[in-house]
Amino acid sequence: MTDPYKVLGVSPNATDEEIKSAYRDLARKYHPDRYIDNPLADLASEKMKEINEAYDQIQRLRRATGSTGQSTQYRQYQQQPGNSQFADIRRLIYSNRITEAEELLDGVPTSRRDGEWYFLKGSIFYSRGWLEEAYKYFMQANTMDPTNAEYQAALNQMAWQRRTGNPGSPYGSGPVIATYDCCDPCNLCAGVMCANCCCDCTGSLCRCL
Amino acid sequence: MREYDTYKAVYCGLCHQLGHTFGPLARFTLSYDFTFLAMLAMAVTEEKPAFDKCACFINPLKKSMTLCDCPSLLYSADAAIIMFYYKMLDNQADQRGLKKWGARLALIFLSKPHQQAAKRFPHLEEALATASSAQTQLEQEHCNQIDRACEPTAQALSKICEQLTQDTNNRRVLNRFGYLLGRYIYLCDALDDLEEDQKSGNYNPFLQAAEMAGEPNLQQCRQQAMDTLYMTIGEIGKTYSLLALTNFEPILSNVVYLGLKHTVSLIINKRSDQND
Repeated sequence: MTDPYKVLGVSPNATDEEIKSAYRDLARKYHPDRYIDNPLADLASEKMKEINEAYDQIQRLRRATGSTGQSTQYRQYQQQPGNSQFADIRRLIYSNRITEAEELLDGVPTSRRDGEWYFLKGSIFYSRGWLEEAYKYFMQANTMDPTNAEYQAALNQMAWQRRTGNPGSPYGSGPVIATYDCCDPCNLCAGVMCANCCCDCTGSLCRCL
Repeated sequence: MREYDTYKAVYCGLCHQLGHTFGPLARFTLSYDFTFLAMLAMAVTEEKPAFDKCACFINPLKKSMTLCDCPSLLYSADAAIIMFYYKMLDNQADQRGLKKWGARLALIFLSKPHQQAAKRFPHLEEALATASSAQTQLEQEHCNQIDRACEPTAQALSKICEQLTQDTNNRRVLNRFGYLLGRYIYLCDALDDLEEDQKSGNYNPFLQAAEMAGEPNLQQCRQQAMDTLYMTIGEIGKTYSLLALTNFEPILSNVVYLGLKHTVSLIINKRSDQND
């Protein structure tokens, strides 16, 4: 069994507050809402499970020794496609069978291409790392069906990254803590180091091909 | 050791590895990109880094902490040599004047190191050779789709990173991480070359994309580049956080969460300084 304190990256002597805060940071980092349509979503959800389990285990341990604390489980994410006319294509995308999904999607006649079609096309591009195209298709999906929360979440997420360069979305559909601020404690201490590094760099990260 | 010192030690280690494996001239292919690759390689394997005090090649009086030769450094050194070889081939074909002759000269010296590296890691050679020819073809077609223009470099880096480990989960993450990193590197380069390419008429994906909409405007191109780079950086961060790492985690996180963005602002600021 892995050490729950290690999973949360805290010392066994940490206070309840520190543990809660470490848990919150990690839960935000791996929140399923940040990995919607991501080909690695299953790994993020495993990570989330691990964090939840570690937190619960620490709570149990501490309760047993008299220390107080409460279990704060983040809502487990569930894909809710609603009534989709492309349920089969969605299934292919979620199981990372991108080429097949794209073939089916491209075979849909133009007259049946609604907001969902553009959204799924965007998801396929996203999954391949074609972020510009993904962004365009999510925008189109959103224009065609502005009230759809799913399309909106996808678009917001990309727009947020485009603006800030930070991972994740501040407008995800319903996480307990919805903001991601770039001044995470880990970033702060890293900042000093980075400034140091960059002074010394002449080559930087962009000079190879 | 402080983190910054560790970073420097890996940098020096790569320089030494290049020198030992390919001779002193190969040290000039040293770059921060491949220092990052070496650290990433060690971070996803169980390899324990060993350090030693060594004299610097440029300044032999200065002794500094250096990472000792190891498989991760060798892999990065080979990747650096092969990549540089294709870069020079490309320059020989595209450039004029001094750059063309410089590339010709470099290719004479690179021929043997390139062969050695390609023999040691055939998959590196294959990935980079494929990228190089795909790139040439894109440029000849005047590709105006930014995502497509990134594809060769992104695919190459994806394969280079994926091969760093045998672990199934990490391999999947590294595949996407490498892809996005390659995309980032290519886009940064294109942003950096924007002015030069406009003057010389060389291919540049941002100029080509802007031409579709009319007369390319440098300011708009720069904004477009920033937008897509930031989107890529955000995505890199998300992917990176899924990697299981054993070493160098603080430094790698630093590069990913801060360094990538910082590099973009350096390029942008360098340009606006020149225009003032």
